[in-house]
Order: sequence, then C-alpha cells, then structure tokens
Amino acid sequence: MLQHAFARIGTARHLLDRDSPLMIQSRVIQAIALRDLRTRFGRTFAGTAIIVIWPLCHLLLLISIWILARNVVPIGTDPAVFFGTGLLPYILYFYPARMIMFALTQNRTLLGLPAVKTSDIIIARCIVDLIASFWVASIFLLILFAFGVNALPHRPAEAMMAILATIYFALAVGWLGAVLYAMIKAWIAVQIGGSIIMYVCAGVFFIPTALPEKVRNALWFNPLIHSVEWLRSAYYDGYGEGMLSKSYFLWVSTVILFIALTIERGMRGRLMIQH
Amino acid sequence: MIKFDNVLKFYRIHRHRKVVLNHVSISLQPGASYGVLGVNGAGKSTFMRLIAGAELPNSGRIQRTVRLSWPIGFSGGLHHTLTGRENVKFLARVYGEDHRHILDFVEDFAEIGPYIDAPVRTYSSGMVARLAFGLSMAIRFECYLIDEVLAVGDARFQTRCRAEFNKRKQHADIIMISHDTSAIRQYCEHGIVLADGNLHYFHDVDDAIELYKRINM
Repeated sequence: MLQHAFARIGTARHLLDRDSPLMIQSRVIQAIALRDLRTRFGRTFAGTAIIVIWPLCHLLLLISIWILARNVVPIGTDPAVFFGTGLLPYILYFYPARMIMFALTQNRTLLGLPAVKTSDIIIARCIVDLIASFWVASIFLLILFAFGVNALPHRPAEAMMAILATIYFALAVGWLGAVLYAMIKAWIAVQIGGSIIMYVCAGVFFIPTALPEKVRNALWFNPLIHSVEWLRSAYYDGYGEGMLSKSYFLWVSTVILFIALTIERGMRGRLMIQH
Repeated sequence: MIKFDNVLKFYRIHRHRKVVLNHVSISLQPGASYGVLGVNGAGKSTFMRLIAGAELPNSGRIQRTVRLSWPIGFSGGLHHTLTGRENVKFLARVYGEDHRHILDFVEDFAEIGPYIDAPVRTYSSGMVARLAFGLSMAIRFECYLIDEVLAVGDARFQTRCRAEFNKRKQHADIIMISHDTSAIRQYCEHGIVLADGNLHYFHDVDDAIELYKRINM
C-alpha cells in the first residue's frame, strides 16, 4: 500500500512542476486563506460564519441602541438609514483592519515553510476580510429590507464606490498594523485607540456641516469622516458638499499602504523572527 | 542551486554583536549533498534557516533555484485546531500536489489510524512527529533539509523513516546538519564546517569531519 502510494507521488526530478513564481504565490495565498477561514474561530461552519456574524451583530446592536436613543435624525426620515450609513463604514473599516493586524503574529510559524512569505500571509488575510466585508454589507442591506426599511441608495454606484474605498482604507491600515504589531506589541493600543477616536469623530451621529467651522476643519483630517460622507452622499442629495473629499480619502489610504509595503519590505527579516 | 553571495548574518544579544556568517559566498550545486558541521552555537541552524528562507541575511543575497523542503520533522506548518487530514490538504495545496495522493501516503506512513480525522492538538507528541515526518516524505522536493532529525518515533518507526528517506535520497539532494559524523558520512559527499562566522567548504566530506573533530577537541 505504501509502495503504491509512493509510486503515485513519484520522486523523480523531472516530475516536479515548474510553476511561475506568480502561480506559486497565488497557490500559497489561496491555501493560507482557506486555512484562515477554518482556523480563525474554529474549524466548523459556525466558526467560519462568525467572521461575518460578529461585525454584523455589532453593527445591528449599535444601530438598535441609537434608534432607541434618538428617534429623530438631522437628515432624512428614517433613523435606520441615517445611522446605518454612518455605522456601516466604521464596521467595514474596524473589523478588517483589526483582524489583518493579527495576521502575521497568528501565522508566523508558517514562515518555517520555504514556500511561504510574509506578504502571502497578509494578502491571504486581506482576501478573507474583503470577502467577509461584502457579506456584512449585503446581509445588512437584506436585514434592513426585511424590516421594511427602504435602504436602496439614490445613487447605487456611488454607494458601492464608498464601500470599496472604505474597505481599501481598512486593508491599508490593516497591512500597516500587521507589520508594526509584529514588531511592536504596543501598536495594538495605538490602532484600536485611533480607530475609536476616528469613529467618535466620523459624523456617525451628527452632521459635520452643522458644527462650528474650526471643529469642522479639524475633523476634516479624519479619513473615516469622508467615508461616512461619501456613503451618505449616495443616499441624500447634496450631502457632503463642502466636507467630502474623495481624493483625500483615497490618497490617505494609498499613502498608508505604501508606508506599510515599504516597512514590510525593509523590515522583512525582523518580521520573520518571533519577538 | 543555492547561492550565497557575500552574506552577512548577525544577531544583537545584550548590546553584543554575534556574527554567524561573515560576508560568506558559496554555491551549493544540484546533484550533490552537503553535510554541515560545527560546534554548538556556531550558527548551523541559522545557516539552515537562511537556506530555507525562514530568516533573511543582514546583507548579501541568497538565491534558490530548487524546490526546497522545510527541515524534516518541522511541525510548525501544522495547525493544532485542524485535523491531520485538513493539515495534509493545506500543505498539499501550498505545494501544488494532489492532496488525495499525499493523504494516502501520509495515512499509510504515519500510522495514526482514525486520528487522521482528529484535531492535531489531541495527538501525542510522537503522533505529531510521525505526521510531520510523513508529510516531509510525501511532498516531492529536489532538496531536503535536515537539522539533526532524520528519524522519529520508536526504533521500528525510525527504521521505516530511514528506509523511506533513503528512497528520497536516490532522487533528491540533501543538506544535513548533524553532530553525528557517521550519518554525515553516510548521506553526504561534500562537507562544510562552520566556525567563527566562516564557511569552510571541503569537496571530500571526510576532510570536513577531520577539521570538525580538531575544532571540537
């Protein structure tokens, strides 16, 4: 039996595949992503589902609390739409960025395999969280419909762009977090603390244009405020004028990603060693 | 081929700089097996990790044009919440192998029976070692890395490990670290002695063993 199995595996040099480096990398990333799905919260289907259910429950809980606390909203007629368009960007940023931050520290032993590189581990986690984010947004929309909320934006393409830009921002921050957290454990406090400050100042519960100019100018630098403004501009006509800067939001994400990639390349040797 | 080009590797330990490889250049050719010798702390395992790509040099370049194994018996690729079967599938995917063939081999070789469907965290250390060794043998490599461990388990299983490894040896190269000079002599034709941050290459492994014995006295 063993000989039979061995015969099928073969060992001759000429039998070894000669895939291109890109093919090998995509194969490795796919394998790590599938492993991540099964190991993050347990190897059952329920464990995999938690990747989507956890942020979704957080989102629904926050919306329920805010609807109960404030039934009158500053714009529109439906509190669920107002709070939903504010909280969805926060959830789509916070969860992927946080989970990607842990990617390297949770999977560092894989670097003992010659085929696996640090970037493969981070990209695999980005893919899993990208897919999870789409599920969260889609299921959230369906739940709103199920409760009779007209959650369809006036400009669907704009809403989709806002969601994609937010996920891009989350992946960039997550990548930076992954490389810094692998070297500096205190980074977790900076990223989580920074995320909470961004959330409070993102205009989730208020309209930034209603604030004094000095405060508004200071809040303008918060990338998450642009995410919220962008998504709401797809729902409310004229919303975001004078505040929303799509280019600023995309540039901040790109610069963060560039810094993350530069650190990852320059410090790869340190990232591979357990600190 | 594995080529070290002016490789510098050092560690900082309590403000002290410990140089493992001091601007070393060497080419390990395909079709040849190398035994690496050196006293404790000389940096043999670091040299192995550099070859495997598990660590990077501080400066210089390392090029690899062969499909390298992980150090035989290395179990870091196994996830303890996954079953043996799921771990086998994961590693087969990483190396682009047909997981059914790999699984057939590992199930037969590792002799862990129904435990193949149990999470690895429930395995005894011996079962983890057998699974890891079986995986090392199941996936095809052009060059096998051995850091001391050439066989695991009880005497009977160790005999099987050596027999299986000898089959791989017929078609693949070996880079072997060991204090066991008879094992080095058995599996390798060329020798490298690592001492004071320098690699001393010997075409004849017996010359390397001779130098190692003199250093070790």
